[in-house]
Amino acid sequence: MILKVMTSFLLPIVITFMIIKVVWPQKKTGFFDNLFLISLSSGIGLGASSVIFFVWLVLFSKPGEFFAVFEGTIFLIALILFCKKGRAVKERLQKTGHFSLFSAGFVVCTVSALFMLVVSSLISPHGDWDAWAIWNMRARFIFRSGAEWANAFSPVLGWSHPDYPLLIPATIARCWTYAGIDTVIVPILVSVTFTIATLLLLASYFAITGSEKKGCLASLVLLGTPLFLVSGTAQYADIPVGFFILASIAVFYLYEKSENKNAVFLVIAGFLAGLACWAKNEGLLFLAALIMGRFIAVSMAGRFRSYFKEVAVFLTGLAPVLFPLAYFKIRFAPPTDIFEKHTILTASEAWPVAVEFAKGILNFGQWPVSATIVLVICAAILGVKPDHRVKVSAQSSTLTLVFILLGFFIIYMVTPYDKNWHIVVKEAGNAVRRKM
Amino acid sequence: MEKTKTSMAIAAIIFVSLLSIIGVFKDTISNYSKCHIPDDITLYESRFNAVKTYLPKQGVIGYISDRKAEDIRFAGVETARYYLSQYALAPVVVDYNVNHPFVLGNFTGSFDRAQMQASKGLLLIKDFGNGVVLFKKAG
Repeated sequence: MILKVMTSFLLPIVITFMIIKVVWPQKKTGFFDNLFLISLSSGIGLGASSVIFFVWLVLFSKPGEFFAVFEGTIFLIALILFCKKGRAVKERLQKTGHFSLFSAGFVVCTVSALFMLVVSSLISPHGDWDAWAIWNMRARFIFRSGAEWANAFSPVLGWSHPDYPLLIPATIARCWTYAGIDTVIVPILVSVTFTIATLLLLASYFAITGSEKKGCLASLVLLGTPLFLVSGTAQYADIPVGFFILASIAVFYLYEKSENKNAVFLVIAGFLAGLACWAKNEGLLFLAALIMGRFIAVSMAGRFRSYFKEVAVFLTGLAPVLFPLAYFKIRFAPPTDIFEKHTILTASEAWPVAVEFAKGILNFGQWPVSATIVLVICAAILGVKPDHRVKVSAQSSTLTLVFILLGFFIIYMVTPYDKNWHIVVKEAGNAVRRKM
Repeated sequence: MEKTKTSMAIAAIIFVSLLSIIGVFKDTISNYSKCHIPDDITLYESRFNAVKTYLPKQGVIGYISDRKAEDIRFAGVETARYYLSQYALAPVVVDYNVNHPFVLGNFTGSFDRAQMQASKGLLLIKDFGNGVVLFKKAG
């Protein structure tokens, strides 16, 4: 069983790594360069396989043996491409980076994170409230229902948010299908992989674009954010959606940094943004914020004309995920409850919400002291001087973040539910579980 | 001067991060012994193992409990019990009402069989113990 689980889990990651290695514009083979591509491949591989699994279910009702043959064929094609093209690019490889003391410190941090994630997952193998009530339950429906998998979106289950996208449930159900059993190992693997991949992606991005010190520092800050590890073991979709947001922004930076503005980066950034939408509804907010943020930043830089060209290439990467998502939303998902029954707050009602929101930003991450304040002070001391080549990306990602926060604030303003429910729901869920 | 400021800022970040990591690490170590104990959701799910064989493979069944959830969309003890029943019994859809041929009873204590029949029209099929009961709708 373990062998089947691991094979089904690693197959899309290996396929993606081979494809990315072939198409990736930068041919460097340093420790952190490979780490960046491995982290990227982990998220893209799992995400893409869940999209393919969903499309297969729509077309053929259930996976069957042909699904394995189909995935096996993709593996063979990727392997041939990798061997053929890999040999051609070998000659112009640039070997960069070396395994230093910082790399060693970084490995220690990652192993510690892995240990904490595994222990916490063993204590709570079904995850927290949203994991078993939404994501893993939906995966059970898809896996156990056979051809009747659409029962997972029954109106009776309206409380379980059947409008939520399917990256997590489809990824889990796909691996269970190969394993032939709905073992808790799979959701744990998915959750731990996305958490570690986020950590590695962040560290390796800063290491390859700045220095190893920066990479290690960034990973230390993320690892020191208790909410990050807690969310990782909770098996929620927040970590995967965060991974895709981070990856998409990072690839945009690499696009800006590349000398010839290679379009491959834009296609990959588009695909990653699409997977953010496929992971969680918040991904759609990110997509809208990204498009607006980039439009403003590019216009400010006087590159207005190139914006639409960039968007066209970006959409090429986005479309393979956005079309299945649109089909899911139209065919299976009920309207999102917050927008269906929305209300609008008066100014006096809005003020306490704004105060809570500001407190949330200040206390973000459950740090022992306010991480926001510490980081703002440090940024003020160190200064923020982005490389002129990535000025547009720095501005657009800042604007994207601002628009996302604005979007969340608007959701608090229009939600038909009690505002306190949104704020305390996670704590309440965990407290309730302890009382049962 | 500039170098000292930079080093101090980096040291502050490292210190706060390590402080936080050590806190999480200590929690993990103190909870390590719980790894070998079955978790509460696995235990709760196991209550439904026997009833599963009596249920249809697909379709919708009803649900009744001695505790009433005020609103099943929101977190609460009864809501959690209902959600976990659904989690355990998927792909059978569990509807929070009794208007179905089969109705799952999920009780915290004993239940009054006569009262179930008189007020809800539910006939007992089997009591599986641990508060798990299967009814069918009379008529």
